[in-house]
Amino acid sequence: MYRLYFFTIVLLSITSINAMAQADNYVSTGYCRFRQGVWEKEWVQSSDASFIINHDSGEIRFDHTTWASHSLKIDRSENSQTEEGVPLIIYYCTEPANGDKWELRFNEWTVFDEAIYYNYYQIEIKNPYSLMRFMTKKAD
Amino acid sequence: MNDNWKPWSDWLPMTDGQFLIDRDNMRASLDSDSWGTHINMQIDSTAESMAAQGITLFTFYCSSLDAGYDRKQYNIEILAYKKPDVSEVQYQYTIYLTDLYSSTKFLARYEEPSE
Repeated sequence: MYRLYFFTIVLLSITSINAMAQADNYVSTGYCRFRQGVWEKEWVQSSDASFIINHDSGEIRFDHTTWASHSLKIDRSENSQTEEGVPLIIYYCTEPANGDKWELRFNEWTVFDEAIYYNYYQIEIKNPYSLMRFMTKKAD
Repeated sequence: MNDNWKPWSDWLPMTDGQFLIDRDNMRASLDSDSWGTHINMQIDSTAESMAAQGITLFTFYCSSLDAGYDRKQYNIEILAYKKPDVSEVQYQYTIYLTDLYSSTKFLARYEEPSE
Protein backbone atom coordinates (compact mmCIF):
# COMPACT_ATOMS: atom_id res chain seq x y z
CA MET A 1 0.00 0.00 0.00
CA TYR A 2 1.31 3.42 -0.89
CA ARG A 3 -0.74 5.41 1.53
CA LEU A 4 1.38 8.04 3.07
CA TYR A 5 0.19 10.16 5.92
CA PHE A 6 1.89 13.41 6.66
CA PHE A 7 0.88 14.89 9.94
CA THR A 8 1.68 18.53 10.07
CA ILE A 9 3.59 19.41 13.13
CA VAL A 10 5.43 22.62 12.80
CA LEU A 11 7.63 22.45 15.81
CA LEU A 12 9.70 19.38 15.54
CA SER A 13 12.54 19.19 17.95
CA ILE A 14 13.26 20.84 21.15
CA THR A 15 16.64 21.46 22.60
CA SER A 16 17.65 22.18 26.10
CA ILE A 17 17.52 25.73 27.25
CA ASN A 18 20.87 27.42 26.94
CA ALA A 19 22.25 29.87 29.36
CA MET A 20 20.82 33.23 28.50
CA ALA A 21 22.38 36.61 28.32
CA GLN A 22 21.55 39.10 31.04
CA ALA A 23 18.71 40.75 29.10
CA ASP A 24 16.94 39.05 26.27
CA ASN A 25 14.35 40.62 24.05
CA TYR A 26 11.68 38.51 22.40
CA VAL A 27 9.00 39.55 19.95
CA SER A 28 5.88 37.51 19.33
CA THR A 29 5.11 35.71 16.09
CA GLY A 30 1.71 34.50 17.26
CA TYR A 31 -0.47 33.62 20.19
CA CYS A 32 -3.20 31.31 21.38
CA ARG A 33 -5.48 31.47 24.38
CA PHE A 34 -6.73 29.02 26.97
CA ARG A 35 -10.50 29.13 26.73
CA GLN A 36 -13.22 27.04 28.31
CA GLY A 37 -10.70 24.62 29.70
CA VAL A 38 -8.73 23.94 26.52
CA TRP A 39 -5.99 25.54 24.50
CA GLU A 40 -7.11 26.92 21.19
CA LYS A 41 -5.55 24.86 18.42
CA GLU A 42 -5.38 27.66 15.96
CA TRP A 43 -2.62 30.17 16.53
CA VAL A 44 -3.13 33.78 15.55
CA GLN A 45 -0.23 35.48 13.82
CA SER A 46 0.77 38.58 15.72
CA SER A 47 3.93 40.57 16.24
CA ASP A 48 2.25 42.89 18.75
CA ALA A 49 3.74 41.52 21.96
CA SER A 50 7.28 41.67 23.24
CA PHE A 51 9.09 40.46 26.33
CA ILE A 52 12.34 41.63 27.87
CA ILE A 53 13.76 39.24 30.43
CA ASN A 54 16.47 40.96 32.42
CA HIS A 55 18.34 38.62 34.69
CA ASP A 56 20.60 41.35 36.03
CA SER A 57 17.77 43.43 37.43
CA GLY A 58 15.46 40.48 38.03
CA GLU A 59 12.71 42.06 35.98
CA ILE A 60 10.52 41.09 33.08
CA ARG A 61 8.82 43.67 30.92
CA PHE A 62 5.81 42.81 28.81
CA ASP A 63 4.82 45.27 26.11
CA HIS A 64 2.00 45.15 23.60
CA THR A 65 1.07 47.54 20.84
CA THR A 66 -2.52 47.87 22.06
CA TRP A 67 -2.60 46.47 25.59
CA ALA A 68 -1.13 48.00 28.73
CA SER A 69 2.53 47.38 29.46
CA HIS A 70 3.52 45.46 32.55
CA SER A 71 6.75 45.49 34.55
CA LEU A 72 7.21 42.42 36.66
CA LYS A 73 9.62 41.62 39.45
CA ILE A 74 10.96 38.07 39.36
CA ASP A 75 10.36 36.62 42.82
CA ARG A 76 11.97 33.29 41.98
CA SER A 77 12.52 30.97 39.06
CA GLU A 78 12.74 27.23 38.78
CA ASN A 79 13.69 24.67 36.17
CA SER A 80 10.91 22.33 35.23
CA GLN A 81 9.60 20.48 32.21
CA THR A 82 6.44 20.24 30.18
CA GLU A 83 4.19 17.19 30.13
CA GLU A 84 6.15 16.08 27.07
CA GLY A 85 9.41 16.31 28.97
CA VAL A 86 10.52 19.55 27.37
CA PRO A 87 12.75 21.64 29.65
CA LEU A 88 11.25 24.92 30.71
CA ILE A 89 11.92 27.73 33.13
CA ILE A 90 9.10 29.01 35.30
CA TYR A 91 9.33 32.59 36.47
CA TYR A 92 7.15 33.50 39.45
CA CYS A 93 6.64 37.24 39.39
CA THR A 94 4.85 40.10 41.09
CA GLU A 95 3.73 43.27 39.40
CA PRO A 96 4.82 45.98 41.89
CA ALA A 97 2.25 48.48 40.59
CA ASN A 98 -0.70 46.44 41.83
CA GLY A 99 0.62 43.32 43.55
CA ASP A 100 -0.71 40.96 40.88
CA LYS A 101 0.98 37.59 40.70
CA TRP A 102 2.19 36.42 37.30
CA GLU A 103 3.69 33.17 36.16
CA LEU A 104 5.74 32.91 32.97
CA ARG A 105 6.72 29.58 31.52
CA PHE A 106 9.57 29.80 29.03
CA ASN A 107 10.81 27.07 26.74
CA GLU A 108 12.83 26.93 23.57
CA TRP A 109 11.74 25.40 20.27
CA THR A 110 14.01 24.52 17.40
CA VAL A 111 12.52 24.13 13.95
CA PHE A 112 14.51 22.56 11.14
CA ASP A 113 13.40 23.35 7.60
CA GLU A 114 15.40 21.94 4.70
CA ALA A 115 18.81 23.21 5.75
CA ILE A 116 18.25 25.86 8.38
CA TYR A 117 17.49 25.74 12.06
CA TYR A 118 15.08 28.36 13.37
CA ASN A 119 14.92 29.14 17.06
CA TYR A 120 11.64 30.08 18.65
CA TYR A 121 10.69 30.57 22.26
CA GLN A 122 7.29 29.87 23.69
CA ILE A 123 6.26 32.07 26.58
CA GLU A 124 3.12 31.15 28.48
CA ILE A 125 1.74 33.83 30.74
CA LYS A 126 -0.68 33.30 33.57
CA ASN A 127 -2.00 36.27 35.50
CA PRO A 128 -5.22 36.96 37.39
CA TYR A 129 -6.98 37.75 34.13
CA SER A 130 -5.75 35.42 31.45
CA LEU A 131 -3.79 32.39 30.43
CA MET A 132 -2.22 32.49 27.01
CA ARG A 133 0.78 31.40 25.02
CA PHE A 134 2.99 33.44 22.77
CA MET A 135 5.39 32.03 20.22
CA THR A 136 8.30 34.42 20.06
CA LYS A 137 11.67 34.87 18.46
CA LYS A 138 14.67 36.89 19.51
CA ALA A 139 14.27 40.53 18.56
CA ASP A 140 16.77 41.85 16.03
CA MET B 1 -0.60 47.31 -4.77
CA ASN B 2 0.78 45.86 -1.57
CA ASP B 3 4.51 46.51 -1.43
CA ASN B 4 4.77 44.80 1.93
CA TRP B 5 4.21 41.37 0.47
CA LYS B 6 6.56 38.80 1.85
CA PRO B 7 6.73 35.17 0.84
CA TRP B 8 6.63 33.37 4.16
CA SER B 9 5.68 34.32 7.67
CA ASP B 10 7.11 32.83 10.83
CA TRP B 11 6.42 29.31 11.90
CA LEU B 12 3.54 28.71 14.25
CA PRO B 13 2.51 25.47 15.89
CA MET B 14 -0.12 23.39 14.18
CA THR B 15 -0.56 19.82 15.29
CA ASP B 16 -3.97 18.74 14.07
CA GLY B 17 -3.35 18.90 10.33
CA GLN B 18 -2.96 15.86 8.14
CA PHE B 19 -2.03 15.30 4.54
CA LEU B 20 -2.99 11.96 3.09
CA ILE B 21 -1.31 10.84 -0.11
CA ASP B 22 -2.90 7.66 -1.46
CA ARG B 23 -0.95 6.68 -4.54
CA ASP B 24 -2.86 3.43 -4.97
CA ASN B 25 -6.10 5.24 -5.56
CA MET B 26 -4.58 8.51 -6.81
CA ARG B 27 -6.22 10.51 -4.05
CA ALA B 28 -4.91 13.19 -1.73
CA SER B 29 -6.47 15.19 1.05
CA LEU B 30 -5.71 17.86 3.58
CA ASP B 31 -7.66 18.00 6.82
CA SER B 32 -7.34 20.45 9.67
CA ASP B 33 -10.21 20.92 12.08
CA SER B 34 -8.70 24.00 13.67
CA TRP B 35 -8.40 25.68 10.28
CA GLY B 36 -11.77 24.35 9.15
CA THR B 37 -10.00 23.04 6.08
CA HIS B 38 -10.99 19.79 4.40
CA ILE B 39 -9.83 19.38 0.82
CA ASN B 40 -10.27 16.17 -1.13
CA MET B 41 -8.23 15.92 -4.29
CA GLN B 42 -7.67 13.64 -7.19
CA ILE B 43 -4.02 13.16 -8.13
CA ASP B 44 -3.87 13.85 -11.87
CA SER B 45 -0.15 13.26 -12.30
CA THR B 46 3.04 12.95 -10.31
CA ALA B 47 6.69 13.83 -10.69
CA GLU B 48 9.83 13.06 -8.76
CA SER B 49 13.10 14.95 -8.95
CA MET B 50 15.97 16.24 -6.86
CA ALA B 51 15.54 19.73 -5.45
CA ALA B 52 19.12 19.74 -4.17
CA GLN B 53 21.72 17.25 -3.09
CA GLY B 54 20.05 14.86 -0.70
CA ILE B 55 16.65 16.53 -1.02
CA THR B 56 14.07 14.66 -3.04
CA LEU B 57 11.10 16.55 -4.42
CA PHE B 58 7.82 14.73 -4.92
CA THR B 59 5.18 16.67 -6.81
CA PHE B 60 1.51 15.76 -7.01
CA TYR B 61 -0.62 17.71 -9.45
CA CYS B 62 -4.14 17.57 -8.12
CA SER B 63 -7.66 18.78 -8.74
CA SER B 64 -10.35 19.23 -6.16
CA LEU B 65 -13.09 16.65 -5.86
CA ASP B 66 -15.24 18.76 -3.58
CA ALA B 67 -18.51 20.16 -4.83
CA GLY B 68 -18.44 23.87 -5.47
CA TYR B 69 -14.74 24.03 -6.17
CA ASP B 70 -15.14 23.30 -9.87
CA ARG B 71 -12.06 21.12 -10.19
CA LYS B 72 -9.81 23.69 -8.57
CA GLN B 73 -6.17 22.92 -9.24
CA TYR B 74 -3.68 22.26 -6.46
CA ASN B 75 -0.02 21.36 -6.44
CA ILE B 76 1.34 19.41 -3.52
CA GLU B 77 5.12 19.49 -3.40
CA ILE B 78 6.91 17.45 -0.79
CA LEU B 79 10.58 17.89 0.00
CA ALA B 80 12.10 14.93 1.82
CA TYR B 81 15.42 15.35 3.56
CA LYS B 82 17.43 14.04 6.47
CA LYS B 83 17.97 15.98 9.62
CA PRO B 84 21.62 16.57 10.39
CA ASP B 85 23.07 16.06 13.85
CA VAL B 86 20.69 13.22 14.56
CA SER B 87 22.30 9.86 15.21
CA GLU B 88 19.38 7.84 13.91
CA VAL B 89 18.49 8.55 10.28
CA GLN B 90 15.41 10.69 10.45
CA TYR B 91 13.55 12.12 7.51
CA GLN B 92 11.68 15.34 7.64
CA TYR B 93 9.23 16.78 5.17
CA THR B 94 8.40 20.24 3.99
CA ILE B 95 5.09 20.37 2.19
CA TYR B 96 3.91 23.18 -0.05
CA LEU B 97 0.23 23.35 -0.93
CA THR B 98 -0.23 25.75 -3.81
CA ASP B 99 -3.30 26.93 -5.66
CA LEU B 100 -3.68 29.72 -8.17
CA TYR B 101 -3.45 32.53 -5.63
CA SER B 102 -1.60 31.26 -2.60
CA SER B 103 0.88 28.80 -1.23
CA THR B 104 1.00 27.40 2.27
CA LYS B 105 4.09 25.78 3.71
CA PHE B 106 3.98 23.03 6.32
CA LEU B 107 6.57 21.03 8.17
CA ALA B 108 5.51 17.47 8.65
CA ARG B 109 6.49 14.11 9.98
CA TYR B 110 5.66 10.85 8.31
CA GLU B 111 3.26 8.42 9.86
CA GLU B 112 2.69 4.87 8.71
CA PRO B 113 -0.92 4.06 7.84
CA SER B 114 -2.66 2.33 10.69
CA GLU B 115 -4.35 -0.29 8.55
